[in-house]
Amino acid sequence: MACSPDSPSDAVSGTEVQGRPALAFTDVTAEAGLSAFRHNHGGFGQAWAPEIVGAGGGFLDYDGDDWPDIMLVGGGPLAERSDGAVPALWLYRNNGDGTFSLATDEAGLGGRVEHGFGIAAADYDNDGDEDFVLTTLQENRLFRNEGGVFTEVGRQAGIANDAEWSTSTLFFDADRDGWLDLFTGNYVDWTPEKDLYCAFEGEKVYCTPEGYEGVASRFFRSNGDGTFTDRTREAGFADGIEARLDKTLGVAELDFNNDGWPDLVVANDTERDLLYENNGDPGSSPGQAPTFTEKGVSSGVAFDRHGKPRAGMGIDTGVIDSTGQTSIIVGNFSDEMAGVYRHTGGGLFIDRAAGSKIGHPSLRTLTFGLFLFDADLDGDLDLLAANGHVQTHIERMLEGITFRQPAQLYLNRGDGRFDEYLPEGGPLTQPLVARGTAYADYDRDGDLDVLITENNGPAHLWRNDLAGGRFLRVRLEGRQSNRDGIGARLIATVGALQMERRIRTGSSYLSQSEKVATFGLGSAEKVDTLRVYWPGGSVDQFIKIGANQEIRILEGTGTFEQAPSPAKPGGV
Amino acid sequence: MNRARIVIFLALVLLVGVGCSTGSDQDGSVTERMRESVDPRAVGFLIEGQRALERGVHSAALALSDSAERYAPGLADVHFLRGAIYTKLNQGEIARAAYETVLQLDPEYKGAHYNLGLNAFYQGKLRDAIDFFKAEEVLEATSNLYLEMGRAYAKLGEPDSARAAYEQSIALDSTNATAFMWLGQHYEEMGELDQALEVSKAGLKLRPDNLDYKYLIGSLLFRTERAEEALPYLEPVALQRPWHHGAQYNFGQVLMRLGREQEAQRYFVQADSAQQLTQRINEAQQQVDMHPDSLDYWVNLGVLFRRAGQLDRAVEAYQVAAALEPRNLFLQNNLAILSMERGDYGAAIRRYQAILSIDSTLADVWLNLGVAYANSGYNDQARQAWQNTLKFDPGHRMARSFLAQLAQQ
Repeated sequence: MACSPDSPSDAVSGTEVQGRPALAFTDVTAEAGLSAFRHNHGGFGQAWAPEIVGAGGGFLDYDGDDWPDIMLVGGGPLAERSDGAVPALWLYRNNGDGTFSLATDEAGLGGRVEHGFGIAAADYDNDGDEDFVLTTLQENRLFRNEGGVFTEVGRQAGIANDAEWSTSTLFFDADRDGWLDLFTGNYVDWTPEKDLYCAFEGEKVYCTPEGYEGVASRFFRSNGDGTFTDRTREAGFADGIEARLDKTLGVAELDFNNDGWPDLVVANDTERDLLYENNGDPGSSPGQAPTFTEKGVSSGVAFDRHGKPRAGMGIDTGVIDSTGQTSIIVGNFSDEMAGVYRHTGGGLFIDRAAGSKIGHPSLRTLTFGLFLFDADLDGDLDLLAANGHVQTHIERMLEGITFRQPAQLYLNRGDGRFDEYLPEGGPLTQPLVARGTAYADYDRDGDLDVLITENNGPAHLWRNDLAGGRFLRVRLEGRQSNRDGIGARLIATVGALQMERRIRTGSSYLSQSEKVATFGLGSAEKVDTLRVYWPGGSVDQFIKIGANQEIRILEGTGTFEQAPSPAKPGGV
Repeated sequence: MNRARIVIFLALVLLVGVGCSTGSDQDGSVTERMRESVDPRAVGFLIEGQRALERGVHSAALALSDSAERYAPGLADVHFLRGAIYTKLNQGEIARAAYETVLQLDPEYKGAHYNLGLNAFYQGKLRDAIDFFKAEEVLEATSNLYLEMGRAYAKLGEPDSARAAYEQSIALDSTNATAFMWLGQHYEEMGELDQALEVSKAGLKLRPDNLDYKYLIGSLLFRTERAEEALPYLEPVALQRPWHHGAQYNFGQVLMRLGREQEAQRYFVQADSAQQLTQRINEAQQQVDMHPDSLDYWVNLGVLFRRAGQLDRAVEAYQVAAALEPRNLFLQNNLAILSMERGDYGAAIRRYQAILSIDSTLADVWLNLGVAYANSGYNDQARQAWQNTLKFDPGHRMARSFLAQLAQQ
């Protein structure tokens, strides 16, 4: 039988961009000054479980100049070792000219040694600068920003836990009181003493998490004074799943029923995924927690098409088609399709993994970080999946599956069906052991650039060199709502095209993307209407906003201002 | 355990090969020429060996293949049978060696490359599997061969080749329902849901009672947002297969969409239980894969399959365990009970007789033998068996009751 060489029939080659702006990413890690960074997984030949899980990073604007800076999680030792301290955090300040400078020490983050995993950044104390939380193998850390210098206040703020292995985390305003609350995903109950032995050809390898007990994730409600109280149980997060089955690696915020109350969706590793619907009952007394109801199974997002749990890792949500309904995308293990679910109404989702055409190309990859973004600025959300296996010997275990795997970019046809973008060269062909991934327009040219972190390896910055494609970028500043506008829903229309974006932290895997809404306008010269549904309940509406600009909207003013032009003082 | 196809193929080859048919299948081959002059005792042992294999008496099958070898050491059929037996016993490496011997003796032996291909596939060596299938293709291109080739290509991530192989399988045998279903699954994976439905329905038309097919079509209809259409496909599967977590889950999802939330929750609970049991079965399967000589692991697998209501698979697991310890009465008794549960009273009778040949004083075994006879309509034999129960346990109330019932008939 003769068969022609196979290629996925729905792939788009790098040179085949009919009707789309020419898309190209360039690896600018070195020229941006990020080459020195190396994640250190802390391993010393024992194949301990935490080694292979980290780490993340992402974008935040710690100095408030509108230029996205980069935070990378360095990993760290797993045992008392004498091979030198590993920096827990690497903060790179954006110089505004395409380069970054290491600013860890001057920002007060130097000298920290702990095995970190993920970050989430937000102005949790509403004081106008961006703070962040770092999850670790032991005690989580909260870094309060005071004019570009951070102070660790995790214990004082009440979010430090007792040696729980935490992974992805996010800030969100669960009760819409204007103060950001915190959800922290916890993984499994691991210590060196509890490490399991799994072997392949007589050699110890990383065990999958089935053998470990899960650890319940935590919800911390803001007290409105810079401190938090653990309200996991009162809010209903303890009822969603037995703690031993709660093995969270990813979490995303969404509002699938458009009732204005933020919901959460959680990716669990080898256990069912969870959908926490916000009951919209913030309570009358200040200390009362909002409540959530877990509906993963009944809504149809908990399992694969055959009712089987998968190895959920990265996760994101967004409106990816003209239905206006929210979709959830989950990165899974190799030989498992990515989870793709679309809300169909009434709190029910349909599994669209195969129909979206993401399913088949995702079968051979193990996806950690993933996010929806408009890569080609054509108005719809595309998907980037960052891949890399967890078994270093996988090539010998399973034919056709590799340890290092290229990332995958799926371009949306506009109707929720995607074509895998297959360039002939460039960073998207580069095999990685990817973990975290995030996006931001770091060079402020209007298109979205990509940051990917590797396990026990470097980070990569991929500049989006899209030729053409108009855009509108929107920053929010809350007044009644939380200052970052987290939880705000933005709907822009261009002719018949309606685009929806949401300001969030979390999503992807252990990572933080920028909190700016980017609308790709294709060849359109303006946005016809823009509505902002603030988490506090107010709505701002604007008409006829010109393309190719970045604007800042202050809640309740009904006006916007153009963000300072993309030229940084002292930069280019 | 999911290797029935390998034995079916063996049966075809052997029945033809050992002179039960025209012999044209291996016409002119080394083996064919040998068969013409082989010692008839070898033929007899081979036929008996194959029957023992089909009955799941693996130890006997092995003994019979050894006996056949004594009279015809160079006959490839002997080693082919041995390969099939070791495949059943989950001893892939020994099976592979046996098939390689077959090909050393007769490079054109039909079925050996095919079975080697399956062996490689189950070991995750997909390119090797495809190479073996291609070698078989040169000797004999069958519908099932292309089916397996398609599956290997699909697993390798070569969808165009997989589809071509499935289509070839159907072209060779348009009644091969499995080929339609696998092609349907392929279309579904590729996101061609309408084509998937069309092809899968063609498969179901060929085997309209097949619950697996109904499940696949029902779940596909559900995913294309046709809950009402999905209902009649999924309901019988969910009702008849409580261990099928996919059916329980998908049926529950359909009920949710039809507004029957309370019922749906019941099926979600069942799906959860079934999923947990399936997970335990998978773990037990991994254990026997790693330790195919372990009696305990095979028994554990058999127990779990039985708990899940998958009696055929439970029998297969117990059969392997029994091959490891042929005189273990506990295993023989469990096999007999399983045969009864499956309604296979003939097999149960044979098992009980085998037990009694080892120890004829076991009153409860005589009782069960009587039950098996009675269910088969052999009342005289049943009476005799129950009388033997009383012989060894005069106070056995159940035996007295059965005998009294029999007397009233």
